[in-house]
Amino acid sequence: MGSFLRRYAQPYLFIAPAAVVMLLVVLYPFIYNFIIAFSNMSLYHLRNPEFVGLQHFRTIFTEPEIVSVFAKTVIWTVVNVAAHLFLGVGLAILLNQEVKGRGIFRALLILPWAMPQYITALTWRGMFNYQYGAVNLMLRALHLPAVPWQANEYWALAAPIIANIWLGFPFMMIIALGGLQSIPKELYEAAEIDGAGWWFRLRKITLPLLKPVLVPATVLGTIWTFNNLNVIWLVSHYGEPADKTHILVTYVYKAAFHYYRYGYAAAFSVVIFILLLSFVVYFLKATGEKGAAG
Amino acid sequence: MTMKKLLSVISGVFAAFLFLSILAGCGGGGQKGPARIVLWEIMDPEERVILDEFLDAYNASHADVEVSRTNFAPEQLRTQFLTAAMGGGGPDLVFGPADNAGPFSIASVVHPVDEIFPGDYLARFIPLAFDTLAGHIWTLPAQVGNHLCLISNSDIVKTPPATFEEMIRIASDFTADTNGDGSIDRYGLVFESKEPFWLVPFLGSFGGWVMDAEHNPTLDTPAMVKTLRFVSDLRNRYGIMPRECDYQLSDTMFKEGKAAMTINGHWSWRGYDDAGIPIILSSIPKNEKTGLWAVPMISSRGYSVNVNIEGEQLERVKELLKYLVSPEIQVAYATKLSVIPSIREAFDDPAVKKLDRIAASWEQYQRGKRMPVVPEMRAIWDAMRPAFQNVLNGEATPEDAARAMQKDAVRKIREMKG
Amino acid sequence: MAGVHLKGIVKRYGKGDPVLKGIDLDVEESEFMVLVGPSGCGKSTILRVVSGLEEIDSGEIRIGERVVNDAPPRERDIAMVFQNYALYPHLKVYDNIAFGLRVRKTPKEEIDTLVREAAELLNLGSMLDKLPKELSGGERQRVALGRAIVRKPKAFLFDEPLSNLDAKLRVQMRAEISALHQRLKITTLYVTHDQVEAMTMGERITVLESGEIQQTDVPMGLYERPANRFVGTFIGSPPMNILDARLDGGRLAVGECIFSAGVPDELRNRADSRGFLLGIRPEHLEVHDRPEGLRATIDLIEPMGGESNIYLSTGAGRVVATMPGIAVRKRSDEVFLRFDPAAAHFFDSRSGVRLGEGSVPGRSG
Ligand SMILES: Nc1ncnc2c1ncn2[C@@H]1O[C@H](COP(=O)(O)OP(=O)(O)OP(=O)(O)O)[C@@H](O)[C@H]1O
Ligand SMILES: [Mg+2]
Repeated sequence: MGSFLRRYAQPYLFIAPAAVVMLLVVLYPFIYNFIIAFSNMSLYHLRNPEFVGLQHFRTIFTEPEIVSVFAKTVIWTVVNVAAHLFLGVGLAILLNQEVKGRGIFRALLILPWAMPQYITALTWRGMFNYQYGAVNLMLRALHLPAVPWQANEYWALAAPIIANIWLGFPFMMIIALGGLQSIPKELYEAAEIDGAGWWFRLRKITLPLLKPVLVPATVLGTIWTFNNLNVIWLVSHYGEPADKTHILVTYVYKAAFHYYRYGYAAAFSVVIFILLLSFVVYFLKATGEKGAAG
Repeated sequence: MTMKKLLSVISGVFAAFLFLSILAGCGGGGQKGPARIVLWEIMDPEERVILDEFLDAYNASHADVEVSRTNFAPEQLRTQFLTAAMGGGGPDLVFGPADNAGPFSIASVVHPVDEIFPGDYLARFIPLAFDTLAGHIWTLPAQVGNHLCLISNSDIVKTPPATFEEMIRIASDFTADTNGDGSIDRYGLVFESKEPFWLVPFLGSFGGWVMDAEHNPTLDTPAMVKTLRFVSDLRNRYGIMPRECDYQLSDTMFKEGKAAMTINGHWSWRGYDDAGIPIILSSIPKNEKTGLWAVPMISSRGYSVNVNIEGEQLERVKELLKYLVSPEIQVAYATKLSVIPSIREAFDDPAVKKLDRIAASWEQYQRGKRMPVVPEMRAIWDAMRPAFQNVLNGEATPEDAARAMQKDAVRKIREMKG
Repeated sequence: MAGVHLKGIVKRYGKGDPVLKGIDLDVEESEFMVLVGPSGCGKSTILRVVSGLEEIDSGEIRIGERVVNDAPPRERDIAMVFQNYALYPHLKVYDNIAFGLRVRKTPKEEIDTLVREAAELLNLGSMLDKLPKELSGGERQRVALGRAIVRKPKAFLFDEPLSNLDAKLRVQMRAEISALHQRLKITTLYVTHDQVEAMTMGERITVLESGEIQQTDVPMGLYERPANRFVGTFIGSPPMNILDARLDGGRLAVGECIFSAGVPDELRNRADSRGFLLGIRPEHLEVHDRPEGLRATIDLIEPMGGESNIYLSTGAGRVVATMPGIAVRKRSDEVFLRFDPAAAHFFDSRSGVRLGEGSVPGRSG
């Protein structure tokens, strides 16, 4: 024991501050959230919450909106992440070629990412205005019908998705660019000599070799998008129209901070946590085994 | 000392320091020097400029206290104050709208104003300025109003309309497609038509209201149906309002002189002045069908005292509070920003009395009705908003919308209380 | 199978000086040609030009009968083995070898037969299911070979394929590649900067320097009749000694020493006043104690086992001599150097071009 201490005291001491902070800022709220999920804590029972068992969970699963909110969460997440991947990888491939002014393009394309989300979201909201928003002005200039971005249930979901695609693709692009630059040039040359065309090289070399970086980036991106409160909340102006533009997190946020339904919101976030956890475990299992390259 | 030993000593000290600083962060208080008073507020930028001047003066003349303020968005202030005060901390004072009283009183996080100030002091205020909830006053009003008026661009509108009919006629005359591109670029009337707060004046003109005396929603009523139809007609039948007319769009169009009239509160007037728009204030017109004036919601804004403040500190905070609502400061706000004072001396001050804007605003104020401060109001807003929008977008009939509002409000209130 | 023929190839990267300054090179059908030269002389560039990865500025490249100047790599039907193997890290050995066949849409059964055949030939049979990272350096090298041979290309291009291996493995792989060539007889252009590799493997060797070919010949030809000073010193280890020499009354003089033996006619015809260079290989220098020949002092002795390298200082410059067995002398010993002038090479002191017997004139400027 003594020798153990002598040997490891210093590393543990170094870790200790971080561990204490982690404990306080992550673990404590996490456990606290679990506890109040089973209580009726709300504005009216702030100081005297009572244990209500699984009542909130029953409510959540019988909520009439739950199916549609969940479906929209899935659409929101899948469309966003797929678009981020597609745009990010595509642009990274373009940027990885020897083209003139590559530095400028790269800087321009990273710009959306460098701006504060809050400001971007509000700007997009303005651009989606029916009559005077830039998007509809452009559509009209192209002789296309204007789109009711803020009034129609489906367009109102499309609007924040567009904004978030714009916000999110630079991340994937940077990740993919890093991955591309670590692929040795010789692999492409060898394939070229073997007679492989552009498409074949993309499918058989580029994409498989990007997988090790894209898998974790996709997992992260999925979690971020799934839990991205800001963009949809602000672009849809808190879920308009008619609270139709919600994903799970904005739904919970509204319950907690508009209606002070703390117990219910805590229970809901437990559900979200379990959903995400199962997704991550499943996804890493499904892609992990074979994805080990390099 | 060996390098290794030195390293471990440094790391130990570092760890201890970090740990202590965390503990210190939790504890707070107990320090020497001037007593600190912390104020959280939700004021507009112009209001903050005035506040800062007076706070600087206060700090300069009171060596023993140091007041600092932090600005918040209204929602943020409400939730963060609730959380902090529930945990025994939080700022000494908060400045916010009267309806903070709902959650604050239920959660018992603020002192009732009538318990910390004597009756003769409160008697110096305009009686209309106070909101009472559960038998107590929770906010010391610093200004009254916060209500909507009709604002006309006097270059376009010579005499503000007195009836809805007149309003529609003036608006129709101005609405036009001036550049002939097939889309209208000038509208007679613009106002935030996504927020039900702007629906309420019309509801009142049809004789309706949002809740009864027991705080039950009263949304599924003939008055509501007529109101919804009327507002929807403004856009869809008379075509005097743009589609998806939200706050920002209204503000921009009015400031650019592309709208004849708007409906907005005192916070907006300065902006119109700065944009060079000559404005006339008037009451939102009378409904000629019912003979009733439009009824905007009125409310106060003011200060509440954290329930965790006791003893000497409470006395210091009270002294500051009296200063913050003093006639001197209120006159400054009234003359610079046209807000109606809450304390009688300021209200009667000749410099305030002679202001046209205050007079017009006061006239509208007297035609208004108090905004309920109970938390149920929040559920009602949220129930009204989507149904209201659905009517404007033509996705629901006024009848269906009124029914949906009521149902949704009842459910939300039940869930909140659940 | 086909020969690879380069005529007047000029290649420049960007706007700078050309990297290849007019290369004429003929690799005959089934020949194993080694291309050797110092780093940066343009060896890889030649391979890249032949494979079609780089375009040329002028000249003509012919593979077999076809001029391929403008043909993309896939139409040239050659295979290339890279220095770092360029194996696909995410593909198993089997799929790495099969890659080129799949690109060409070869039927599945045929691919299988060919891959197994190649694996058999290279002793890779048990490794077909492994990923490259699970293989040793030598095994990876063999996979790279397998990938090249499985397609039965018209020619092989190797770019320093052994330089990432340790010394022992290098010797072994050298033999394996040679043996493979014996069996398959595929036209090969093999790049190395290691003259030992060149000498042991090449049927013919081309020495390249600064984008220009110095000499092309069979290994012993290069060794015995280097076309210029560069080739002389580049081929052979330790390198050939170069000493300033002159004619003294028709006799060869180096430093203070005048040799009695005659010199080639061509040298005799030159003006006596003008000096030239004498090249003598270390094994042709004899170290002894009799005061005869060049006086020298021993600086360093390197015992190599079967022989020793002895580094010496003379009045005409520093030299190295190779002696069989363990040297009995030691540092600072005073000795004398003797050699047979018939074994010496003579080069023009300015151009470095070989003078006299067997010289190959006019290659360099
Ligand atoms: N893509 C390129 N762009 C510009 N210059 C290049 C490029 N590739 C090679 N060079 C230059 O061309 C010359 C020859 O390069 P090459 O790679 O053919 O040399 P090498 O003989 O293969 O050398 P090594 O033995 O080090 O591999 C070098 O001076 C090099 O700097
Ligand atoms: Mg090279």
